[in-house]
Amino acid sequence: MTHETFERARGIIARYLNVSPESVGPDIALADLGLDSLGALEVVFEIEEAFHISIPDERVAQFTTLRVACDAIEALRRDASPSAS
Amino acid sequence: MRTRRVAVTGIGQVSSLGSSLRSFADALFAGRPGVVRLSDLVVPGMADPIGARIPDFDPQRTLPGRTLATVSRTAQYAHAAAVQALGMARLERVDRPRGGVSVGTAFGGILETEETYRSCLLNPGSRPKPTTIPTAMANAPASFLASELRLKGPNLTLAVACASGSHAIGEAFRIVRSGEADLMLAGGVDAPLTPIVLAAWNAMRILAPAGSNPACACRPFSADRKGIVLGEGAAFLILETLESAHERGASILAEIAGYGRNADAGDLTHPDPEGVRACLALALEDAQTRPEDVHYVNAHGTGTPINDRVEAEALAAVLGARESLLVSSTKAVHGHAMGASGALEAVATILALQEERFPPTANLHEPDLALPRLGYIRGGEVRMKADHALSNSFAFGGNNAVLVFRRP
Repeated sequence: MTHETFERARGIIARYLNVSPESVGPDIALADLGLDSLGALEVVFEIEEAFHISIPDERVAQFTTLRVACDAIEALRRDASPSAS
Repeated sequence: MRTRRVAVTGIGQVSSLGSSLRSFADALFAGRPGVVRLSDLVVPGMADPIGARIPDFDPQRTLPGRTLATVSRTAQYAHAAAVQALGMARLERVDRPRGGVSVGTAFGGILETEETYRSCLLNPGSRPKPTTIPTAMANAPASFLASELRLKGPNLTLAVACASGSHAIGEAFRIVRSGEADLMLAGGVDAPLTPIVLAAWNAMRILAPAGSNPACACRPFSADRKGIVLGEGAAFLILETLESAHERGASILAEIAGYGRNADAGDLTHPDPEGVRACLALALEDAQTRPEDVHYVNAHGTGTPINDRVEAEALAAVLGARESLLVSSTKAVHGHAMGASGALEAVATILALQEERFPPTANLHEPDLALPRLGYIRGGEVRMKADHALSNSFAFGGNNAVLVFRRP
């Protein structure tokens, strides 16, 4: 995952959870940081807006850690613009 | 089956009179309105909107460090008022399988709904956030209170327009009295100071004009009354059995002695004198209280010409046309906070019985001489002991509710 994706996604999650970005480690379960089902939907929404991607319903449940989220974001961005990669 | 008596052991509120019970009581007894110009709002068709707006609300005070995106404004208000009531009842940790929540709200999540519409319509291509439904749903405050306080019993949301708060308290009273729950957190909440809600009320031609001083706009029972002033807020009561209150050594602020509710089944916006009289009689019968034993009425008293006339005539018919019957409308100070009104007025009534101080109707300088002679309190509070007090709420839709409170 790129530094840019990591920092932006981490910022969105930290802002939502009202915690410092440093406390959102790449492999910490987001649920352990207090992200509930509705919060997960809200974070996915913000990520879609920020990265101009559309996250399919079946992938939403996979957003369990920051690292998994970043990998999914980058895969979706590649799919969205194959010529760029 | 009525076997149990019901005590009020905690009260709390947030309103235009501040976010503490002390600030509310101070303004209430002094007759000091919390009505201001809403100059930050662009309201279609209104040049000078006014309202009874909460001046100092900080959700972080009772929800420190919490993400508020999923907590509706009404849930924030309700929680702040409920926490005060629980603290007063010395019930900081509730966690009761047989404890419940009963919330009255007229407009529910209108604030979030309106904001979403505005955002989507003004920004083509934008879409509603996932939090829109959970924050806009009418039962958002009741659900939030249950989750936060671990109250797993009955969880009701009652939409009965301007009488929602009184209905919510009345139904909770019956739930505790019948033994269905041990404890109920009951009250009302609304956050209706939005451009479209204000404009829609204005279209009904019953909003009081701002005049030179908005604080003087709402003048219930006055000869020159010109209508209502919208407000916002929340108020909650802790209801439990008298027995459980005694057992745990809680202070009993008041007893709820009875509750009446009915429908006019007629005009949607004009109160029916017969329906209001019948509701008062139902409440007295439920409380097994004689009319002459009622010493104070916290009136619905909206400040519209028709409400105040119908209400005063009904009071005179059922309780007697006597100046010994103290009457005031506290809407002149806290505004008409819609679903929260009945609950704010219940808090005012309980404070009055408890402190033996009866609040005036602010801005009542010249009582309407066409109204029956009653003891309209004006100019300042009245100090006396009273045994029974009523709190009236009469809603658009023709829904009436009357609560009977008894000094413990």
